[in-house]
Amino acid sequence: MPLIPIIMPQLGESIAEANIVSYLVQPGQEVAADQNLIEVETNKATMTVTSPCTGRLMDLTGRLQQSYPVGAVLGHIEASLQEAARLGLDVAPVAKSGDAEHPATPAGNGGSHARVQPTVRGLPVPANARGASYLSPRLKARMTELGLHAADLSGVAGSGAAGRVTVEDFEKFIALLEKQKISDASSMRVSVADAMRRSWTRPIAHVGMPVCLDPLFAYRKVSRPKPGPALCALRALAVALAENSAPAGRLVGSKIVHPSAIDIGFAVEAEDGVLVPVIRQADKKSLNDLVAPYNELVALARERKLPVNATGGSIATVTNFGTFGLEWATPIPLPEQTLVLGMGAARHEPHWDSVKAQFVPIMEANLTLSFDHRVLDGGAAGRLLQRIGELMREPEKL
Amino acid sequence: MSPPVLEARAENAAFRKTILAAFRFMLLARLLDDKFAALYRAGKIHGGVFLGRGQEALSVSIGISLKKNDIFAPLIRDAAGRLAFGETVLDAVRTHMGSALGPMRGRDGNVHRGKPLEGSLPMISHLGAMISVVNGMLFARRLQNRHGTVGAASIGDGATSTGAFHEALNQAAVEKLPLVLVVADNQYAYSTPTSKQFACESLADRAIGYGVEVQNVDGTDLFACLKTLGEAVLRARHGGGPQMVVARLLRLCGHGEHDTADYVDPKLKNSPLGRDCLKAAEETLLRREWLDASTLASMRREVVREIDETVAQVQREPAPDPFAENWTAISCGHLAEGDEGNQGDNMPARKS
Repeated sequence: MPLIPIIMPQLGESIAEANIVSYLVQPGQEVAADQNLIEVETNKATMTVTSPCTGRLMDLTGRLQQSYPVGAVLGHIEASLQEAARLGLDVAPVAKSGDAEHPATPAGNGGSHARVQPTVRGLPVPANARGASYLSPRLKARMTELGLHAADLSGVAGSGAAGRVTVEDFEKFIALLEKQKISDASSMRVSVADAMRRSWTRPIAHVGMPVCLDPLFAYRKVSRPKPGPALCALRALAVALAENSAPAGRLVGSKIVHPSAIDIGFAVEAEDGVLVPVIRQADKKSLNDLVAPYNELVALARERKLPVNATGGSIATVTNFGTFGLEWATPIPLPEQTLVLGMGAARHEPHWDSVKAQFVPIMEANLTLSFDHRVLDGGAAGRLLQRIGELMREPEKL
Repeated sequence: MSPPVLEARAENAAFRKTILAAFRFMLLARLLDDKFAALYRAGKIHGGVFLGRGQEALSVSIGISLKKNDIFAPLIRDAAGRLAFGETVLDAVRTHMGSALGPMRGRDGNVHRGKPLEGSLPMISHLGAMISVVNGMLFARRLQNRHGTVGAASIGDGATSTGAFHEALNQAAVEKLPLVLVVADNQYAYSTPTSKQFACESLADRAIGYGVEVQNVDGTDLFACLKTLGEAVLRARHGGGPQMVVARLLRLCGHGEHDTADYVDPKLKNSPLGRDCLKAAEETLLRREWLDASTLASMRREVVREIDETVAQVQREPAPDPFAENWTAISCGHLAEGDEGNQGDNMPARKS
C-alpha cells in the first residue's frame, strides 16, 4: 500500500525550520485526515502538524527536540490505494528524486504534467543573496525546478536588458550542458561549494615563508607521544593568537569582533570533500597533550563520524596540503573565519651556515597564511606568520 | 436579542429562507476555513492562511445583501461573504492549493483571488486602498450610465487608521457614490489593540466627520447584521449616497494560522464581543424551530462532503507551468495584445 510522507509545513513567512516537541500519536495507530500528529515549535510559537490523509501511521523519523527544515519528511502514513489516488497524493519515496539524476530535463516540454503538490519542499533562496544580479521570477522558478543557484549562471553571458540572463539564454546553456556527461554532486561537495562561494565574497590575500623543521624532527626522536608538523603548526598558531587574538577577529559592519576562545580547526580530507574538526582552547594544552585528541579527531573525521560538538565555532583553520606532496598552495579561509594557516611538504634544502661558512642540508617546509585583507594587512599577517615560525623552532616549549 | 421590527419580519417566509441560506454559507465558510488550516499545517498550502472565524455573520450579510453585477471587495476574513456573493468552493480551494485551473491560475495565492470582470475584486493587502478601487469602479459605471448597482468594500479597524481610508471616504461622500463601507471592528489590527489605534469613542464618528450615514451593529448577531447590511445596501442602491456600517466583534483566531494570538485579552474572549456568531445563530434557529437537529446534521454532512471532495479533486489537478503560462494580467490580458514593443518577461506563451 502507498506510503504518504508527513512533511514539515512552513508555519509562518519567515520560518525555515521547527523543533519537534512531542508526538501526539504512535506508529501503528490509525489516523484520520487533518488529525494532529506532531507538536512542533518554531521560534515564534508552538503548533501542530496535521495528517495529509487517512491511514495507519507507519513511522515517525524525526527525533524529539531536534529541528527540521521546512519540507523535511517527518514520517509516513500507509494509506489505501483508493485514498492515495482519490487525493492525488504523491507516494514515498517521492518520484521527484528522479529529477536530480537528470537535472537538465526540462519538465515543461511535453513531459508529464506536475500535479498540485505541497509547495514548501525546501525554502526558496533569494538569488541576490548568492551574489547574482536580477533574475526574473520566471527564470527563478525554472532554476528552482532544476535545483540551480544563481552562481551556476556565472558562465552564461546574458543577452537581456543590462546583461540580464533571460530564460532563453538559460535554456540554451542547459541544452549545451545536456550534450556532456552529467553526474550528481555529493551533498558534501555541494556544501563545500556553498562555503567557498560565500567565503569568496571577501578579498583574500596570502603570505608565505619557509620554516626549518629540524628542531621538530629532533624533538620527535625523544618525545612520547610524537607530534607531527601540522599539529605543531596548529599549536604554534594557538599560542600566537593567545598572545594577540586581533588577527583572528572578524569584520562585521564597522566593528572587529574578537574571538572569545582559541578554538582551532584543522582540515581532514574525507570522501569527496573536507571536514574541519576543532580542538577547543588549543592554547590551554601543551603540544604533547594535544596529540591524543588530535589523532582521535582525525580518525573520526575520516570515518565521517564526528560528533556535532567537534565541528564549528573555530576561529582559524590549519590545512596540511603537504600531505599531497605540494610545497605551495593558496587555501581559502572558511566563510566565518579570517585566517587559514597552510603547511607544505617537507624537503631537504641547502641552508647557509655562517659559523661553518658553508651550506648545510636542513629539512624545511613552507608555511602559508591566507587572510581576509579587510581585517589584516601584509605586515600584520607577516608578523603573525614569523611568530608561528619562531614558536615552531622550539617545539619542546610548545 | 432581536428588535421587535425584526420579529415581525421574521414571520416572512422569504426572510426565513434568507436567514437559513446565510446560516448555511456561514457553516460552509467555517468548515472550509478549518480545512484550510489543517492543509496548511500538513504543508499543503504555500503562503499564509487567514481565517474568518467569528466574523462569518457580518461577512455573509454583506455577500447576501449584494446582487449579481454589484461590486464586492472582500477582506481576508470574508470566506462567508465571498461564498454568498457567488464564489464557488472549488475556486477558493484551487487558489489556496495553487491549481492551474483556479481563477488565478496558480499565479497568486490564497486570499488574493477574485474575478474583477464579475465584480469580485482580488484584494490589496493594505485594505484602506481597496475603498478607492471600489470608488473608481462605481464612478466608471456612472460615466457609462450604468445605474442601480452598489459597491461594497470590507475593511477592518486597522484600515481606518490609514490615510487611504480617509481620502476615499471623503471622495465617496463628495461624489455621493453608492458605496457600502463595512468595518469589522474586531479589536485587533494583527496584534495592535484598538486602544493603540484610535482615540475616538466609536469608529462611526469618522463617517459622521465626512457626512456619511453610519450604523453600528452587533457583529456577533446574524439577524442584526442581515437587517443592518440589507438596509444599508438598499439605501445606497436607491441614491442614498455612501453608507458605512461598523460591526463590533472579536476575531476568534490568530491574524493568520502562523499566529497563535496569545496577545488577545482573555477578558475580551469572555465578553459578549467574544461570542461565536455561528453558534449563536445555530442556537437561535434551533430555539425558533426554523431548523431542527437532524436537518442541521445533514446540512453539516453535506458541507463536509462538498469540501472533502473538492479538496480531493483539486489535489489531482495540474500545477501551473511557468513556460506555458501567458504572463499578461489575468483580467485585462486583451490590453497587452499587439503590444510589439513589450520586452522582458511579458513574452507570449510558449506553444507546448
